[in-house]
Amino acid sequence: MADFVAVATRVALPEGATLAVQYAGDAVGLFNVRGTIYAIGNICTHAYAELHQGYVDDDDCTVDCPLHGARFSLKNGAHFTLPAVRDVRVYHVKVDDEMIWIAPAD
Amino acid sequence: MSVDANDLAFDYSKYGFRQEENYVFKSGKGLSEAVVRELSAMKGEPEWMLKRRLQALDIFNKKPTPVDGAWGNPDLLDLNYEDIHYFVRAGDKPATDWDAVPEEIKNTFERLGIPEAERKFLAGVGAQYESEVVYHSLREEWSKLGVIFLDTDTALKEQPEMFKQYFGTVIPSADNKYAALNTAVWSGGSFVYVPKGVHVDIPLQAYFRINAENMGQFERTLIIIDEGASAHYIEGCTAPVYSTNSLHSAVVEIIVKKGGKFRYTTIQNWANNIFNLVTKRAVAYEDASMEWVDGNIGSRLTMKYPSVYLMGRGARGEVLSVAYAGKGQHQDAGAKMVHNAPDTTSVITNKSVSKGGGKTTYRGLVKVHPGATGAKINVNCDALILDDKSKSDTIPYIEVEESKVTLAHEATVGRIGEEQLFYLMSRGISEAEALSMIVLGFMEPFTRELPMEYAVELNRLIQLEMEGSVG
Repeated sequence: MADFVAVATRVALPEGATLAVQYAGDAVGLFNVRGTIYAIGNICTHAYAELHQGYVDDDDCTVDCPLHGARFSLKNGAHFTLPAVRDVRVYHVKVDDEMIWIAPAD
Repeated sequence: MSVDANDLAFDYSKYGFRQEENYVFKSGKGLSEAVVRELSAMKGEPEWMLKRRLQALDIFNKKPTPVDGAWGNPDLLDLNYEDIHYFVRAGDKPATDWDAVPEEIKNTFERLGIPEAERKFLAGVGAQYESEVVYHSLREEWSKLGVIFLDTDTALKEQPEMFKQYFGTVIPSADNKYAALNTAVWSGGSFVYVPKGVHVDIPLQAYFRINAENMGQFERTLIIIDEGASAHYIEGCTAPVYSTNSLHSAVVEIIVKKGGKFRYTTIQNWANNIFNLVTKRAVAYEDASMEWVDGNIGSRLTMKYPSVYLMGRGARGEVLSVAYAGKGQHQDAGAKMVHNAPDTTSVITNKSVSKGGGKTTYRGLVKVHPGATGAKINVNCDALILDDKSKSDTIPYIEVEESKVTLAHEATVGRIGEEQLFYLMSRGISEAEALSMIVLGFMEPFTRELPMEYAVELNRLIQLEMEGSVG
């Protein structure tokens, strides 16, 4: 499994917030949903847009791409709606007292 | 010999009549959160739908009007969103018996021939007047087989789980500005579910009528064809002519599951003051087949690109469309095919005729994703320009990211040849008849796919449009 890398401080991502970071040069979006932190590929697979700027549904744990509305699961990166036809990458998340760490799940 | 299109007023008497406005409710002009909340409350909707509407309103307000760019159109600048009534309720609830429909509305649909068509050759009928459906019925033989054919408002109440599962999954609110607008203020439309293995072998039809001036009609249609099932749905649209603009902005979402077959036929004959901005998209899974048969006559501006997302091996999509643009009209129509699985097939056939200063545009997209090996695509666009004042543009986008693909694109633009006319006239046919005959022949690949009654009607409409084309 790939190494965990610290990508942000915990204070930078309070509950309800999102953040764009990088892992080995790849864009990753961090999402704090009701205290749980999720990390998925940050670029929509349909057209270029950053998912962390999209609408997050706390109940369904999904994010809608701000450009055309394609919906992705924050838990596993699966696409739930068109116009996206591919999933985004998903990352494991670890949190310590200060930092948020991520590593690709695949 | 001279062939000159003139500005003959189209005989719109069958469609152009208007009824007195006698409504249960009519919202004020303009769009606001209050209008959306009021609409949702009047319909007694669940909280999640109100939330979805408000989110869509926010998206609509933030998205710029697409006047330029790949899919933009500067004609949209003439559309004033503040001058439109977004919700007009004409009756109390959909009737299942024509006798229960308010008299004036019933008269409208009788003049349009809908009850007669239902008796003769339809499995079910929905009739929408302004914002809501006033009549809806399905023959008992089909309901016994588990077929569901409801107006969309009723479906939200009676089929809440299936509705929530599929609503907005094919066309999200943020897909484009007009999909967001529709999601914010949608009302009426059809909901169809055909269970596994059921073949509805005679058509279901919905008819959409705008009567009021400065009216916005935003029907929402959701169709689910389950595994191995098949159906054919027909929609017709008309409105009277007013001096100010009205807006029709529908969203149609279709899901065709494994081995299913579905055809969606549109015969649209809007008055020349209607902005017709429609998003239609289908998703076809393994070995499924989806066909859009799309006839566009009338409207001030139509922007419509029916799409099929081919998501399973062996899926097939087809768009067969015609557009006729007369004076002051722009038919900006096309198709989108997205291949995302191996051995998928798509066919786009687009035919357009422009006359008297009208403009037609074919705008289309073919996208092949990596891994869609063996995809076969055939795109064919033919434009006929009848005079020097008229225009036609062809804007095909093709994005192929897979090497093992067969793609053919063919486009022709032309005028009616003098020798064709001469040949027909030498057989004793008048110039006007000859011209009409050539145009109908040009459209024939489309009309032959329609049920007989619709083909006759469409030919008659085109003949009426063509009258006086000889100077």
